[in-house]
Amino acid sequence: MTPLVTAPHASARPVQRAGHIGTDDNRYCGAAVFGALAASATSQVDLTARAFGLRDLTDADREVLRVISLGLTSPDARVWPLKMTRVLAAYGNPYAGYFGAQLGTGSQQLGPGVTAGAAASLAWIRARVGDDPSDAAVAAAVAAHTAERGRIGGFGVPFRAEDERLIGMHKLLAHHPARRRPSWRLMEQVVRALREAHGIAPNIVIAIAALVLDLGLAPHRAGLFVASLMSHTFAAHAVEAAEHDGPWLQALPRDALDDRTRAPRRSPAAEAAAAAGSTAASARRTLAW
Amino acid sequence: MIVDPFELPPMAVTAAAGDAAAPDATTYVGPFDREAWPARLAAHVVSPDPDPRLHGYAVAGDLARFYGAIDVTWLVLRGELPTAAERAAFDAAMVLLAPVGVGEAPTHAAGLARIAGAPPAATIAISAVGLGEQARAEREAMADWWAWLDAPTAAIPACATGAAEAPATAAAPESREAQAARRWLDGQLRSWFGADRGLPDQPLTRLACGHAILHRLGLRGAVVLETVLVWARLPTVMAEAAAVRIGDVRGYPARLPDYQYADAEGAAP
Repeated sequence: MTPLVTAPHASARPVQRAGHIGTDDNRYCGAAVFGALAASATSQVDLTARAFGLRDLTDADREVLRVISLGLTSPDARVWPLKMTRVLAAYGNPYAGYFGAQLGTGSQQLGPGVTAGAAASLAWIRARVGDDPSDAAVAAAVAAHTAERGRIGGFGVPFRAEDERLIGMHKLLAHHPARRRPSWRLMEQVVRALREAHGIAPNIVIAIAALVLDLGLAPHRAGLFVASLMSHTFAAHAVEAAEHDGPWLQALPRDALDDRTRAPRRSPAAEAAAAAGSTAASARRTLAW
Repeated sequence: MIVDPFELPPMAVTAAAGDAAAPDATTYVGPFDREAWPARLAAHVVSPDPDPRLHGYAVAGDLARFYGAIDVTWLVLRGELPTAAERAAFDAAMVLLAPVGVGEAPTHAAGLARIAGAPPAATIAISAVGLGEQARAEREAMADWWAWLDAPTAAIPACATGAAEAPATAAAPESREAQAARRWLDGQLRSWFGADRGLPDQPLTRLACGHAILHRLGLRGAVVLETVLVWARLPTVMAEAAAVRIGDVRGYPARLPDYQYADAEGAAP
């Protein structure tokens, strides 16, 4: 097939900054694994953040990521992407459930993928109003965003009045410096503007978008970053379902299915065969072609 | 001792047995417990019977006897069996769109899956991911061609002639074989869909010809179009992958392309 993008000249070498296997040590996103990284990384979160361009996390930054991860730990088996994990793992392969279901996390309607849009919205508003804007300026920017770019992601709380995850994160960050950072303060103004204008409650996504923006994350990377911080919930379901769910999920019982298919009918070829009185050998190709 | 976190706790065991839960057990209540939900999963295409029907047609007693895979694919996607013209056109499109060479990302990824020792099921899944991504990108890249087919203008978009991707190739004259193939397809399209539904008399890529057929068939929309593209190509990709020996790390050109690692402190040679 013709390539969809123009290939570079054959002699050109693509440069990558993700990693290299060396002779005595390896490099990962700009640092020696058993040198600088071993000295600075306190947990796997440091390495994950580094993949997204977040380097040299402070303890305060790590606390933000810990709180985000806790906020994202809402792992009910009936949440649709997690149910997908269980269904995919039902034949006993946890990898299929864990990785297969997470392909859906890029969704712009549900899950971590929404964070990228929410972060982009906050960045757009901030670029328009600057730092320390008035509530009126933010309200005007929110209205302009809605008119020009559509609704802001991270609002709306289905099935309950308030998002318990957001409340929990607020409590954990009560005295954290993250609440004095610019995107967080702007987020609070956006929340007020949308509450007053439309009575819409925020959900966890807009708060996470603000937190990761204040860490320096590029908005378009926010979705996958957040997905990586909640991957443990997929793992829990994949491991369990692979071991236990086959009898329930490999095939649902007939009485669990609602048949909305077409009523039984006979194909034109079958009609012709019946009219000819033929029930003998298949006339498949001659009739169909 | 390793504790299995999924070992059923005592209250779950007693509840499953129909006994009352322990009096001090906590009851966890949330939105999924409070809300009303449908009790059954809706089937729209495959009847949930031991002898299933597809859009109403019996699989064993009817479709398998009188129709082929092309017919059934059309049926499930469109809801009705194809006419003779639709079947022939769809068949031609599937053939035109089938090749995905080893250098293209879906097939390349499938080969890497084999080298990495992925089992066949995972290799198929990896291939499908690659093909889905390719199909999405292709649908977007061919949007101008679909718009042209909707309302032809003088200039044929570069995505259909190949000029957008490889100007040097596009400048080369169309081969005699390619011209003959395009003119054959033009005649077929006119016979299938009408005298004004053929191809422009200009060099077109094979991909553009395949998409032209899908356009004439009315196979629009991301779900249907991308399904058709993946379905046409998955066997080709898996066949190419099957030729790769599992675990053959030495047989893979690891420096193609020849990535160079670089960071602020240095770079690989």
